[in-house]
Amino acid sequence: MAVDARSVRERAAPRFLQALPSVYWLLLLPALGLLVAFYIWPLVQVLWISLIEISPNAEGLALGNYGLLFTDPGIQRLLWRTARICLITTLITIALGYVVAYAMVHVDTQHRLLLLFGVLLTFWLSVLIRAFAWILLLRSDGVIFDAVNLFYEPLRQLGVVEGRLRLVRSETGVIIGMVHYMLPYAILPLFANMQGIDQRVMLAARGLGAGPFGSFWRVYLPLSLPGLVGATILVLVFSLGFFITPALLGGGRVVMAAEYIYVSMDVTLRWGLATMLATTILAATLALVALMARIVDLRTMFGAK
Amino acid sequence: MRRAQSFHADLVQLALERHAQGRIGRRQLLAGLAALGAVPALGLDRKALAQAQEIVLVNWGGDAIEFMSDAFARPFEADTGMRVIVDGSGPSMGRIRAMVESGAVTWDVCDSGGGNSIQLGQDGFLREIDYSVVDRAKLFPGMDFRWGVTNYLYSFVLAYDTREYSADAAPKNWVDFFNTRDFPGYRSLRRDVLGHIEVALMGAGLAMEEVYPITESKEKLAFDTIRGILDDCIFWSSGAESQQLMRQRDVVMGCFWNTRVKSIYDESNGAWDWTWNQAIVLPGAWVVPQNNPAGDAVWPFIASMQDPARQVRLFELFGNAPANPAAAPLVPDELQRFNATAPENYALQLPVDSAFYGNNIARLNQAYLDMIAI
Repeated sequence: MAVDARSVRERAAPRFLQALPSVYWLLLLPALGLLVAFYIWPLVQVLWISLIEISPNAEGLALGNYGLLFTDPGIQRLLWRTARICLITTLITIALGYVVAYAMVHVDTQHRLLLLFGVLLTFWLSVLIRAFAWILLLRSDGVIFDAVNLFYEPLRQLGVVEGRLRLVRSETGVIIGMVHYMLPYAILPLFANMQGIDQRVMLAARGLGAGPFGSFWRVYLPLSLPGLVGATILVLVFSLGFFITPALLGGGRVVMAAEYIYVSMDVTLRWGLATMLATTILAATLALVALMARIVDLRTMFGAK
Repeated sequence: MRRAQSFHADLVQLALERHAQGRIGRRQLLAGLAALGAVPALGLDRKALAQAQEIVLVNWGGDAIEFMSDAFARPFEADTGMRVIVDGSGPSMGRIRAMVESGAVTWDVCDSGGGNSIQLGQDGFLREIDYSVVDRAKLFPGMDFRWGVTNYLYSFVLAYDTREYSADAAPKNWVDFFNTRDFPGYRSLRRDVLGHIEVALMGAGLAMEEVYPITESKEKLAFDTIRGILDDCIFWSSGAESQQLMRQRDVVMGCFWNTRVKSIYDESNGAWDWTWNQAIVLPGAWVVPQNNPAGDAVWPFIASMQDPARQVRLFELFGNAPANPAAAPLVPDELQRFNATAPENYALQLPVDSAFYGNNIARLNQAYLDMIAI
């Protein structure tokens, strides 16, 4: 088909027209127009505000609002906290997600459906309901709390850990809630990727003398790398924007960037600060994706190749 | 999804919940309102009214749309023939600013706060109040702002679980609140600094009269006081969240909005109670964005909402207290105990220094969030 269309065009169109992209690209124009008007342009405005509206606490800094990134310890703590929680969340989510996806690929169809249903089920619950459910489950007079505390208390008395156990209304609670929310976003791309892996290569690896661990480590894991990277980017980028879960499960004490930006926009009117943080996070996200693109071919990851 | 950040948004949610629970009967309220319709027009500037067709009042949505229509809009329409539209989009500071900057202002009167009015006004987003039409005498002292008129009052009160404390063992002031040795257990503060500098200063042992003016060293003292109980403290953001803490007994005491505690008090038959002692009383305020479409017609409308009977009606619906001192005698006796501006309650409380927050809240909130964050 593609070959036919090109040969027709070659015959019909003069040479200079052939240099132009295909007419099908015109179909993208309305979507592109919308994107520019409602996404790119506001984004440019955000960038613009971050440059011209200097927050009172950034006055006199060489880089304006961006100077706060280097001089304000509170902002640095905020970004570091956000990065730390997102990284921990991503690590745990990917590790758990990989196991579930692996299982889903290898069980029979009926069990796979059951697993898929279990994964998708969480999509139907509102993030608020989930947060409150976790609070009920993990609060300090709950069953889970008592069970965990059984192991925690001896450790505390030995001095291995410090402070009272807090499963919820703490950073631990936020990470539990975020991992729960992000799991489907890790499992589904991993599952799609693993389904594309020819299971016979594992048999071949075993046939050629690799042990179970060796064949996984040297054959299966590299083959699943595109899915792994894709899921990591997805989870990490989504985590950066978390808002409700940290606010509810953090007992008010886990302040992350997204909510901080909201407060600066809507409550304290420090738009310069808010847009600077938004721009910084966007730049960090893009840099992250670019970095990942150097490691794996992004086209493979999104199934375009 | 937007979280209920302000007290105003919270009132709406509260009213919705109480209505759903059958605690507020709509019929009976409407009947009461009919009697109020006979209120005489208050110094109306007919000329100003003639120019505008309608006034848009913006509040925080939900039942507040209907309640404010009944308490304020319909009586005004009956008096003047001018249409009032009540819009529940939520006039946050960010939205007011965005609207004024975009040059397409569609709001006339917005339900904001005293400190907010100062912050927004200083940045040039609000019109100055015309006190030749709006009556300063119908406000508590210090509640007449340059860019805002107090529309109702609410308080941050010390609330406690009565199942934890007998009447005489209960925490009585903020010193008790910050005393985690004699009053162990989790307690709760709001995740916003408004009113909390005062709470912490009294917690550090200052008398109510010594709190103001807030100096740099007092700021530091307040922050240190809160830092001292961080490990025993859970911070709430929305009013619904504060109620959740009370219901689930996650905390033994808290600094909550009086309206929310009252609601828990009602539903739990007094399992939670509060003291007006050392409470911080704060003004909600009507503000008018620059270049509002109805022009000067907003002033007679705002003046009409100062009417005591109309404010009492809103109090009965929302639990937020009338801003007009003359309204207190009209509040039914059985509800006086819950009225923040009943004279005997008001005397126990500290009216917030709105100017202090108007000038400092952005800086303080940034420092506060940084301090409480793990």
